[in-house]
Amino acid sequence: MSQGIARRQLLALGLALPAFGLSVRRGAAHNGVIHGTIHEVTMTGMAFVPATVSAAVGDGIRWTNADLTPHTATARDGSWTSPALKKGDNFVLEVTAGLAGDYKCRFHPTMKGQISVTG
Amino acid sequence: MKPKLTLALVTALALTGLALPALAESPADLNDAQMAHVAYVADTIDIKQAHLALALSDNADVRAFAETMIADHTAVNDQALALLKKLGVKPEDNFLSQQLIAGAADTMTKLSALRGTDFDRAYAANELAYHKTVNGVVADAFIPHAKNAEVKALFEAGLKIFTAHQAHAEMMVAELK
Repeated sequence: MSQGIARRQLLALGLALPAFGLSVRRGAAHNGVIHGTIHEVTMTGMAFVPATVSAAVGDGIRWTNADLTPHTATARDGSWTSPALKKGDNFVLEVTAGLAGDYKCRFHPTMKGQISVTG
Repeated sequence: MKPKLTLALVTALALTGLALPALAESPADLNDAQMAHVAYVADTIDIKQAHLALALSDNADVRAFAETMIADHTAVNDQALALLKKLGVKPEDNFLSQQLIAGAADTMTKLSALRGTDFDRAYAANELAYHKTVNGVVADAFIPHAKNAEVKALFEAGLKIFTAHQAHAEMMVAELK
């Protein structure tokens, strides 16, 4: 796992509470907490909705797959990715200063999103 | 007024070897159980061709596309079968399913004889043409004429997925030129 992924504290799947997640760091898992706002992105109709998220450092972004098909949220530069999310799965990512940029679904390259980081 | 196939759709079917047997039978004449059968057959054909691609292609992009086709079409078929079971509907074979099956057999024979870049290009081109054709049938005939609201909704969801596949196939065709 890259340092980029470690820094961004990728938080894991399927946890209902917005402030808690299972973060993944250097291949090992541990419990993580997000104190900021959780921004919701739904994967639906083969699109990220909303396509653009503006979030502050310390916030979280939660992607939830509402489609029949598996999806990922994957940085265009490859520096971070969610695992494959089946319908109903979700993935939470803690926002850091370096997170701004484009992302896509690894399986469906026409699905595109963007994160802008404030603060 | 009886719905008719558009000229574009008829042309697309002819180009992909799916010529219509008679003007009296059009996709818009099919009932929900027959439409469901067509959709299941169409998904299954694409899954089989994806497995062929995984067996024959060394191209990473082609293989990734094929993996996506298997995952997505399997997911849609699972959902369709669950809906039909819930509705107590048994899929009904029909002329369009048979046309798809006949066309697919021909395509598999042609693709199986190819290797390397020739296979990759032919597979990509076929995926683009196939998705265009089936998407046209779903958009122009199935969605407007499906009677059951849940069946119609599944076709609408499926069309979004398969439209993304069509765009993905278009990208793949361009990259393989």
